[in-house]
Amino acid sequence: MEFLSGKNLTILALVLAALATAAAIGVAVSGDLRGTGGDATGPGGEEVPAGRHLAMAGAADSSGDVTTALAHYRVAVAVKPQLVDRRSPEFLGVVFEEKVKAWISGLKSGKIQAGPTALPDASYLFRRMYGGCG
Amino acid sequence: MIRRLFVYPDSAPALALGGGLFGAAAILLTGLGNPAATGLCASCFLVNVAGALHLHGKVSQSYLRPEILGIVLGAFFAAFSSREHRVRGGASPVLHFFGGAFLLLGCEVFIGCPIKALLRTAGGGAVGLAGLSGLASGVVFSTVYLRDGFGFRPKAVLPEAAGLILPAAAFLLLLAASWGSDLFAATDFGGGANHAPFAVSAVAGLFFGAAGQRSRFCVTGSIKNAALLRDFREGAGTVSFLLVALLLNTLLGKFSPTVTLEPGAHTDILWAFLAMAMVGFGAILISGCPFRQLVLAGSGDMDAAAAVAGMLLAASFSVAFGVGSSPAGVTGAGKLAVLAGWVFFLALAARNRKGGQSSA
Repeated sequence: MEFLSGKNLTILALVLAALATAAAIGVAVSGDLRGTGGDATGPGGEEVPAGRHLAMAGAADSSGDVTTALAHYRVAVAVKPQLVDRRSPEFLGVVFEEKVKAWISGLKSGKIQAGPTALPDASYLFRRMYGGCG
Repeated sequence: MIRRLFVYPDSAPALALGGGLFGAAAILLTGLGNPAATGLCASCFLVNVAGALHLHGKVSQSYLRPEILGIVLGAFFAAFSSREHRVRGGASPVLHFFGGAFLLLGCEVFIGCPIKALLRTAGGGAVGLAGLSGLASGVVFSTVYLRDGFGFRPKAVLPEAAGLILPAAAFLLLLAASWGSDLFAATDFGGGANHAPFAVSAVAGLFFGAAGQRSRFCVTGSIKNAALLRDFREGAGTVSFLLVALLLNTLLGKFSPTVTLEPGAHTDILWAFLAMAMVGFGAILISGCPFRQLVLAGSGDMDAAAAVAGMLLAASFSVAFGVGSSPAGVTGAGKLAVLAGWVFFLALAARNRKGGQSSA
């Protein structure tokens, strides 16, 4: 641990301070404190109510477009987490729960062909549905 | 024998037994309704308590967690009955306040305190393991400063009454909540709605507090003692916690190795590591992780009480400004908070080297 002393520690502190400043500027310029990279808007970047995203997800699912369906489900759930909360009257239901698991399983095994965002979106729905203190 | 095991536990087997009981109790609470991998989490629960006290407006994260109140009370009773309740403080309370605040913010970016990092790892979460690795790295990093004489001013003895305020507040809040008072914000859905029965949580909290006070259970402290002093006794408690939780999760079918499907978690390994490294580093500088701060505060340490106040304020700040992460990922504000925390703790460490004669 000798390298972590004296001048090197000062350099480390300065690097971290510079990173913090850069991050602060980045946040200030974007004006987006809460952004995580795509959980607030739909595939087209638009902000619409959760209900409309659900409708669009259902339509895409019916037409076999899993990628678009999952993208809309993701935004709907990000806007309204109650949709995947068993205690809420707005819970999408056990059928949806099983569907998410089937999507994940199918996408992982390659039985379901979809775009690169499909698996991350399905995984997000799973993580939201089964945990969190938020 | 019983006295050495439960009243003055200082041997590795006694501390391992205590750690194992902690782990089992945490898994039990999850089974009884607490959120996944959140049988015990000082930071998540403080956010819930802040919401219940109307310090933030996110109702889904509001519930007066009896575990937190129980920890403070349990530590108080254990310290008092063993004549270790000594009211002391004055070793830079302002720095402890801000230190506590940054610990909480780091935990919120990772989504969990060091104890939850153990529970997440025991559930098979790779991001949880990354956080735990970051925590250990941060603690080991802090030993550079400890070896160089880092320290605050010596604590002074304070009036006995000061040490009764926090336990009294915890008792009154527990009493009011047990009577079903509607003074506190609560929710029917979201994380705040996921909880074990009130009485069970309160008893578990008392156990965590009392056992934590007697055994000095602290994840970061145990890593520090192993790295700095080659003393592995407390480490036995931490490892035992992890192994018991892992065993119970496996038996209950709750162990599932995964990167992307960890319940309630995000998948950002880098920021999980950095956030918990900051927590590990800072926790050693201010003498304990969030859980340990609660125990110390209940035992009469007014600097720890300042840290708890800082954590409570940061809990509301975290929600108000979007610092806390979600399954969607780490926010811009969260990344900023982690970097600011690193700068704060590095400055604190640099300033208080060689005995900390200049501390505020």
